[in-house]
Amino acid sequence: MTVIELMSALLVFSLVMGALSSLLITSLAVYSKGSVSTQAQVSVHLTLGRLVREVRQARRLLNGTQESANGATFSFNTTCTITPQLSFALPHTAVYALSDGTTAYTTDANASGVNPYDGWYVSYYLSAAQAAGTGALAPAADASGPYVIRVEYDVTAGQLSYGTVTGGVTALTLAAQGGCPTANTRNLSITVAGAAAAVNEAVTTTDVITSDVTLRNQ
Amino acid sequence: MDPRRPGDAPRAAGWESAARSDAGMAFVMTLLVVFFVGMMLFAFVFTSQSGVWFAANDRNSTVALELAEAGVQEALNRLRVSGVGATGTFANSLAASAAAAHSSGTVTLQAPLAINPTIIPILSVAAYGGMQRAARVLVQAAYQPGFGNVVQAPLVVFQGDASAITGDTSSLASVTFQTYQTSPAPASGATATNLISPQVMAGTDITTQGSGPGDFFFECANDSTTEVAPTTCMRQTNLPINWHPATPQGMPSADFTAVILQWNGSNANLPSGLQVVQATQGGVGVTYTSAGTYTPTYWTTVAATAGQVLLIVDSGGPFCVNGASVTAGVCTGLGTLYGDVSGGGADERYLDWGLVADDLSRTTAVAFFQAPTCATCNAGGPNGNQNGVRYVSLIPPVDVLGIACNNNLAPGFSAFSNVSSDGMTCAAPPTLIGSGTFTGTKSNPEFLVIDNGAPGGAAVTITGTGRATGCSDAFASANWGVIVATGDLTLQDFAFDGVIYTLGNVYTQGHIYVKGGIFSGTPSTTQVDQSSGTLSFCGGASVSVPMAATFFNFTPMSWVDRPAGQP
Repeated sequence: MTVIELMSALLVFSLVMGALSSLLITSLAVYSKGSVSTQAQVSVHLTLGRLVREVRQARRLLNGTQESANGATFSFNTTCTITPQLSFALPHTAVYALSDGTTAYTTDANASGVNPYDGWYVSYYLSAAQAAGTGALAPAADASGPYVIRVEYDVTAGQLSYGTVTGGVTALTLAAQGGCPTANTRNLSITVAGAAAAVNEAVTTTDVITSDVTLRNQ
Repeated sequence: MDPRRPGDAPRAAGWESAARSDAGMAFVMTLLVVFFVGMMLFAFVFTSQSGVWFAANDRNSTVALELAEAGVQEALNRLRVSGVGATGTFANSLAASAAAAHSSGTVTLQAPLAINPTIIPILSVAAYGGMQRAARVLVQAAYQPGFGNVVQAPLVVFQGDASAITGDTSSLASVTFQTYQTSPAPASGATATNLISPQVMAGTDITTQGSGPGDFFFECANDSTTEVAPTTCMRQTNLPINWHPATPQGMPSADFTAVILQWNGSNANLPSGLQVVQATQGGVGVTYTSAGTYTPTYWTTVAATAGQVLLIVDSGGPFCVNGASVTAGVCTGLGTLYGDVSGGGADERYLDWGLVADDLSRTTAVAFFQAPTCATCNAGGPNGNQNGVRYVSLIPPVDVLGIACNNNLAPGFSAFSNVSSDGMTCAAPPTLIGSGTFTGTKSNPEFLVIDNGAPGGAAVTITGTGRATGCSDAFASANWGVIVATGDLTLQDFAFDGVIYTLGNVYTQGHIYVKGGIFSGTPSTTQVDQSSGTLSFCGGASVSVPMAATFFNFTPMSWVDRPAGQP
């Protein structure tokens, strides 16, 4: 093998290895982006899925309803400004016996439509902090989160409880015909945006999903 | 093979080993290229697949839910056309159509709630693209306006505007069936302006003079639409249990308020034929002082009505109240139907049920129907039990021959028997029968229409194939269904769960057990005639009856997205 042949071989080898390395790096970046994109999608889908499912069977939206329990007070509001918040009244659900001996899971059969309802007040909003353990106060609302907080007030038991639905959610947007939803709104549009990042790969992705929902029990 | 040509220089030692090494490296490099390309493809596929997975499942789940809701609407429409007989499952017709290929769905009319037999769950399950969703709606059946719940029994538990009350009430909201051994006469001491329990069955009379249960005082209001006191002007000497031919019915306060706000003093936004007037007694406007549990909001909103007892008078046929909306005609979606759908009969009048419920808490009425100074109104007892809650409107006429050839009950079957000479016939689906033998059962109830001429003619004798041992019996082996007739009926040794309606009289032979009601569109001179038999009305909180659309309205009251794993 001559020197020229050797140099040519090395050149070709370098080119091939360079291409392969580039391919590998690109592959890893794409994989990471796919992975974090999936994380973002899971976050927004979890949030939107649960939120829409609950709003769909709400009796009405709440705004200005304040409840206190265990030394804590929470305001169930529906607002679009600065710190978006969506609050609503859910009917009581239970398994009822039917006259043929079977059972059925359904809302409170004796619901009168009179406030207060025999059910729950529920509120969703964004917060920079996760919900703490039992008995802790609700995390403060924030303009954008990474966390979606769900606050629940049991009307019958008179108890407040808080929980984190998911992290990685950056925005919660509400809309209805005529602007922001009010306590009388029956149809509204909910948009949830989520973001996730793989720091080592310098990859960031954002996912935005919108769903239209109608309150079935209003 | 050595590729060299003859005369080439000799090869260096080990050349064959070097060549194999090159080939090995090429192979390894090829493997690496394949591996990295595969990784890249996998990453691409993974990324795109996860997005597609989320999107596809979202779409499929949404389509499945919409199909399930379509099934609920289909069930509601079926109820409004043919009522509900037994429970049953049918295929969601949209799911099987070309509009939603590769989907499936079933809708089930479930058994009524054990705690309230007037509430029927509908469960609609649909699947699309591997995603399944289920929606359950509770539908409340209430008698159509005019078929007052009180005809069932003296006790009605009202679950509308306020807490439960007990009394002889007319309510559109709900009914609790109670045991009543026989069709009773009015209690001793009852008067025309203060009827005392027990109540009597609809379709029977209280004779106001002569040989009836007693002589009662009454007044004649000359067919006034504002007078609230009983009158015999349109019935001469016989007061039907309904008392006034246009007796006010209790309308839920929310609906009443909606009508008043649309009226707002001018009828501007009310359908034609609806008007609002102040109730009068003896020509004097009736006022009301709240007892503290209910004060109408329209007293403030429409200042001219402050303190007044108002009546909504309907002379224009059916109307629908849905939230704040009041529209002419039957309800096309949500809402409560009022007025006479058949278009006949006297004007229908409604009063605010909140006032009626509120008044129950007082011992002495204050200018509400009955003067507080009335010393003899309650047989010497406390005065002031206002009269309004004791009124039940006339049973509205049912177009018996008009529904003869329809499918009136589903699940179940319809039958038509013509023993008159009018020559009327029906094509299928009604089963044509020539006798009065009733074969409907709990699992397959019957809607029997009998064309037997005018009241007062030959009575058709109804015998059954079922039996019951008494009111404690579950009636599982009794006959189930609905019987409507144009003329007189004779019930003979009949155990029946359902509703009987006739324009004529009802006679009995042997032992008759009825769970449900007997309505008559024509007041007779006697009660349900028991001179040749005994009639026991059986009840209880768990009684359920076939609910034909002829007699019941079906109103959705709740919706739930049933989670997986729940019944």
